[in-house]
Amino acid sequence: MNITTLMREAISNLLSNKVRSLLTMLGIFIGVGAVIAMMSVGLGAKDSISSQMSQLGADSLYVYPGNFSESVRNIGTVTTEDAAALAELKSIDSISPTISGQQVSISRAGKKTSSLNVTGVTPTFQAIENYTMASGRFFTQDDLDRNDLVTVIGSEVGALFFETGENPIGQTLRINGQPYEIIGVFTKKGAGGMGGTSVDQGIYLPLTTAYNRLFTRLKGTLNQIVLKTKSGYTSQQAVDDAKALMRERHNILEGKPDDFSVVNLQEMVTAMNSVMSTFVLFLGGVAGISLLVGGIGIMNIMLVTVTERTREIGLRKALGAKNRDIQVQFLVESSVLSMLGGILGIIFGYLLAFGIAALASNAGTKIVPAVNLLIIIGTTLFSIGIGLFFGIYPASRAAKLDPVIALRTE
Amino acid sequence: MSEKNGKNVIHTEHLKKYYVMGDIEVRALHDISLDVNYGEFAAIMGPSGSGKSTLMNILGCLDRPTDGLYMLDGTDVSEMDDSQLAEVRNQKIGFVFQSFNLLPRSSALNNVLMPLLYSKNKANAKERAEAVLEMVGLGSRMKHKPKELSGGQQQRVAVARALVNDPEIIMADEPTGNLDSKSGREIMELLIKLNQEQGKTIIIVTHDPRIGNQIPRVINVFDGMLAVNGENTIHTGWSMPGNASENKNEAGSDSALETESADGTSNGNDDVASERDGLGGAADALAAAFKNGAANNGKEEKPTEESSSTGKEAGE
Ligand SMILES: Nc1ncnc2c1ncn2[C@@H]1O[C@H](COP(=O)(O)OP(=O)(O)O)[C@@H](O)[C@H]1O
Ligand SMILES: [Mg+2]
Repeated sequence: MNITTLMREAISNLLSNKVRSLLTMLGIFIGVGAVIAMMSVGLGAKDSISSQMSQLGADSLYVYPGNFSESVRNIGTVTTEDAAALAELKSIDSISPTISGQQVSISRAGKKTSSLNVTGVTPTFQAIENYTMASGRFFTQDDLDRNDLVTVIGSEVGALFFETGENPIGQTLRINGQPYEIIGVFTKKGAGGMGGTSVDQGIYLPLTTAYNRLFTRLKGTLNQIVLKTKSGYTSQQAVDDAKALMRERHNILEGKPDDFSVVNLQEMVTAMNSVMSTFVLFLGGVAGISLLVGGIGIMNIMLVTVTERTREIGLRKALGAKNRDIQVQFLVESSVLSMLGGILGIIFGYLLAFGIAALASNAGTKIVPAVNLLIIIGTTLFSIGIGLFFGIYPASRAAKLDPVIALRTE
Repeated sequence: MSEKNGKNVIHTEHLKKYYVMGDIEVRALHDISLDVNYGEFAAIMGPSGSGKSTLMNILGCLDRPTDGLYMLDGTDVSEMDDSQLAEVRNQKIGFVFQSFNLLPRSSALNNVLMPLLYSKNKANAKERAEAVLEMVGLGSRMKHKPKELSGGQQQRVAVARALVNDPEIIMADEPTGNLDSKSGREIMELLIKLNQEQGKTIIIVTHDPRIGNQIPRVINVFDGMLAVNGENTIHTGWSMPGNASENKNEAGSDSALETESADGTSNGNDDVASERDGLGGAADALAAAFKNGAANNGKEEKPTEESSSTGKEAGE
């Protein structure tokens, strides 16, 4: 018998008992659906995280005031002196200290006033954050030394205060009432980074200007220092060095918790990946059990089918079918059953994945489910494999039937 | 009767089939030695449980003898394995069953095509299947499903299926057992036609003496053995037409009450055709016998215990 005849017969047999066939497929359907949904969402999330990470640079460390994981009595401050000392560490290549304030009123003649984030930065900021200029230039040390009233703005801020075609460079923007000359506009970066607002919505000032004009009461303190690890050192070495130095500078006694935090991006990526892997493993286990149950369901129904069709098997043997012909017939039937379950499961899985992605996007996390042809083909083949594996026993039972006894069976 | 290779199409020596059930050994067949010529039309007859079906199954290569020799068409098949037997069944034997055994969801044509699925000779499969369906008179019913056909038509599909691979022998175990008298007669006429016009060797199992009496050779089986004087051969006149006649007799009555446990049918006919001579009369006599029987034919589904007066035919 050729495979087309076998497939046609298998499908017509399955169709003759639609409800039963559908119920039998359910296990495979759910299992495959879970695998597909999990894989495409997981891979999509991984893609979006790693693309964000590569924007930030995986060799960056972040120093923040306060301790994220333990409670400390006095939340320490991180100062420009701390920053200067950190810059001297041999495992540190460069640093970018920043101070920022939220809800600063920004205005321009003839335009609506907005409340936006303003950040004081040093000339290293642009290189460390890996931002490029759409027009104009970034701050120089001279700007800082002179306490100039100059500003660099994000693309969305530009769009907010200027008409299309209007060049913002050289124009004046009032920050907290004071006039600043716009010297540069950042290239649009798109989707926001992790937490925090996007650079596109940011307004940047020289650090010194920010202290003297805007954040006068916070003079010398910092919200964040980004450290770049020097090549030849691991991020972990840099973290250890930075922690030791900060503890010394803040006179923290042995055994007391830090009053600052050093966050290693590499570590965060690893932690996130391991959470993701655990999640994937867990869902994979659920899917695996579902597939196993589905397979056993197929075996069960195939045994019932063989019993129901004992007479047909006897007839086929009388007409010249060999044991192998009968075995192949039932194997094709069980694998067609699980293949159909698998294909429906793949469709269901992707629908689920896009549903999850839509929910996640509404909640602010942009995930594009990964549709991978290799996974689709692999899953289909795997479902066929399940049908074959769990079909072996019923099919060989069918093949071994004695034609005389089979023909006598009612 | 023609002969090929100077041999018989069926030649058995001391065939035995024993079943062991616990401590008891059931001798379903014991020491059967018989020959069937090419082109012969033979009936295996005997009371219920006498071993007719067992013999038929072995002759049909569905089963292997416990002991003894079986040469089919010049080949020893008694020691063949399952796969070789399957091939022999496919090529040399066409089966017709009491209960038709058609696949309910397949059309008549696809049912007839089934043996060709397992055959090496698949050339012109559809044309061949259509041709045999035409031959059994179902040329206009090829696309019909079994449930859209009458019992007689279904059995004709089964005959077409048996013929499609052009086998040497047609074997039919109670082919008319599930049919009304008219359809039964038509099937018998069809089988006679295949024998007379195409020279097919035909072996049927029947316990109905009205059929047995029309058939040139009767192989009587009793308690798993060939009955003494069992060769009820009416060679003379098989090819000459004759007159049908009926009469009631006690022996016939008893025989007709006998039931077929293996096949699950009961035949309640009182009327039995007397001995026939003349081939042309066979069909007429069958027709008459079946017509007569139709009135009283109680179609019981449940098999009953073996009735009395077994071996009436055997004694003939
Ligand atoms: N598979 C089997 N196991 C045990 N005994 C069997 C088996 N098949 C047939 N027999 C016995 O062999 C004898 C002949 O049976 P069977 O050939 O079916 O008779 P018939 O067809 O003449 O009615 C019976 O006694 C039956 O019980
Ligand atoms: Mg029988």
